[in-house]
Amino acid sequence: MRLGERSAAWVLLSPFILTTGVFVVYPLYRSVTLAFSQTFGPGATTPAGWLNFQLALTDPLFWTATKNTALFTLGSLFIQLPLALLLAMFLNRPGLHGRALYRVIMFMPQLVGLVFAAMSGGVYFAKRVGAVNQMLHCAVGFNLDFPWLDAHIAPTLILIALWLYVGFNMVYFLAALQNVDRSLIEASLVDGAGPVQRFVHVAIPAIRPVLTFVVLLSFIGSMQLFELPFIMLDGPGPENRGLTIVMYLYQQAFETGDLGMASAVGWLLGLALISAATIQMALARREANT
Amino acid sequence: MAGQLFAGPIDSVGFVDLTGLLEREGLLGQIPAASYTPWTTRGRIFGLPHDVHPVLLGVRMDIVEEAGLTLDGVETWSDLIDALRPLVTDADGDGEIDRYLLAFWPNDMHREKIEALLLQSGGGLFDTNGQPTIATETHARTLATMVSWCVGPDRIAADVRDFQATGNQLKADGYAVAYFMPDWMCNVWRNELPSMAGTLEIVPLPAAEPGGRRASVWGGTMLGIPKTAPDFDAAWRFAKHLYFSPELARELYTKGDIVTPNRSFWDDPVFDTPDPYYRGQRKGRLYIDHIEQVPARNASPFNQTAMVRIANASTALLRYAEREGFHEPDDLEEEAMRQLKIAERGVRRLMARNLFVGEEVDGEQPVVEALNTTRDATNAPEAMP
Repeated sequence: MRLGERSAAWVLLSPFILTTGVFVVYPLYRSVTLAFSQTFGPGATTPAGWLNFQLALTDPLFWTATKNTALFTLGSLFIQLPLALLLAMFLNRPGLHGRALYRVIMFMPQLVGLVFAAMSGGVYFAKRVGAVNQMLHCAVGFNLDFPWLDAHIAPTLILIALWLYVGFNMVYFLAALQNVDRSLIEASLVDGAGPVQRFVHVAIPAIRPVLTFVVLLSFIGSMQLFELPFIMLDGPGPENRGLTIVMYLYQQAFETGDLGMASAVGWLLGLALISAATIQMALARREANT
Repeated sequence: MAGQLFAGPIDSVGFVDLTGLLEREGLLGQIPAASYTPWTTRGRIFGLPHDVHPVLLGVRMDIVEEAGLTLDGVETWSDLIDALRPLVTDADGDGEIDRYLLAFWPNDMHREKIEALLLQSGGGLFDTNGQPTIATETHARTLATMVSWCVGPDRIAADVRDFQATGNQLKADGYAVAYFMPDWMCNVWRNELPSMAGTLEIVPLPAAEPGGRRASVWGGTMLGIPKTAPDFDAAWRFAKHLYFSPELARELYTKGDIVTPNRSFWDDPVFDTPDPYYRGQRKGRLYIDHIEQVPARNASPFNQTAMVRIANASTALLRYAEREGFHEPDDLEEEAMRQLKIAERGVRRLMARNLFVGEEVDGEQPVVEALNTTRDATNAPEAMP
């Protein structure tokens, strides 16, 4: 390779190298060094070894945050996704009129965004004058002072996230279902398969790649929950019932000013996500091969 | 509070230390000590206070008068509860109470109301050395009293949140009769609830016990000059213009309902102007008359952490009271102390990591100690009745 060609290669590569270096490699390197330091305020740093990790893992608040985040994630995976799949199957029925309209209606909450959902969630689920308690009170004499935003924060968050994301996930599932090979379905019909058997043995294997992707996306998004409770409750909420891992990280970094501890929490979360994603991908691959 | 700005070594605080300058220019004495303490760390002052923010009580006097009741002779929280208890009623007969006395709830996201009550009863989150003073008998008694307001058949408090549409609806409905009112909150009501003009009257905060403090504090703002300011003298001149000019002090009150912390302006007639929103009351004068009772708060990088933990303690106490059926302060005090000890342990655990907040500034007299003599001099009662 001549000198001119070598220079041209470096020139062409430089935007990638520069942006990756500045926005990926350096921040990662800094967050690793910070995770092993004790920091107070912007100017004071001392090496801390594994202390930050040790402190996080022995802090009851960290485990409260982990429990809350896990609850929300379970709600997302086991309530929201099955419901999204059910809706997709409903919209995938042959001969259904107004499919596009239903799809738009289901997807619409996604357009208003998380901040709006969080702010309006605070209004809808408020005690006494909130729309949810008012409607339930009128319908079944429900307690007007039912504390959705105090003692029942996890179900409230799951419900709001359900409203917000069920249509979004449904669109993925619907697209996948619409691409299931018709000949497979017809063959199963000829073999005498009922609706449940068709769903389990034909539809699910056919949409597995999309299913795996949506589950992974939902898992990562749920584990990173922050804005919804933070805006709706203006913080972690009563008795930290709305505290999530990312909110705990935020508190350490920007309320206590301890960037080292926050970085350690960030790495713990990152490692948990990478591990879970790797396990899930491996399981999905094994299922696909059997 | 700017506590988190003070987390590192004193030299790494990003604002210019104004202590010497304030002393040299004779400005320290012009402003109440309680306004300086939130911006003071390790004896050094890093900000010029914008306000004092005394907390008094806003009462829906239209409701009180309509019921033929009066606040004459009310001095303590017990007096207030006795005087207004007839207002706690089920007006429409549906089996649910339609009106409560006080807008207060232990897990309100605005934890400052709890802090205001703790400070009023003579407590405080940190001592002048920055050590947490959370698990004290005064705090336990106060926490037990405030939770007793929220439980049982004699409950008098309701969850009415500020700055929220739902809370404003409840205010407009008259769901609660009395509200915590720092001076700036008068402006929030005026702007967010214009239809409530002529219904509220400001009265001194009921004391914890006879002869006790009739005001507390909620909020605060400072003006600090960054160390990186290219022209400190110009910045200082501008700061003094903003906070020490009579015109702007007047405007702060007329447009924001906030009383200036500068004593030399307190005689201004603007504070004696009747306010039609507050039933023609000369409320500026009322706030000024109570400024000297405003308790001091000691700044700490862990202030917010401490308040979160205390709020959690009060919520846990509320659950305990509901679960066990305990409705009297005496029955709740022991559990309150247990919860406060948990809160303090959590704060101390975090503080143990901080290498910097315990340091002393060589050769300097910690000004905060001198400032805090005001707090000691106006000794508040030990506990609520």
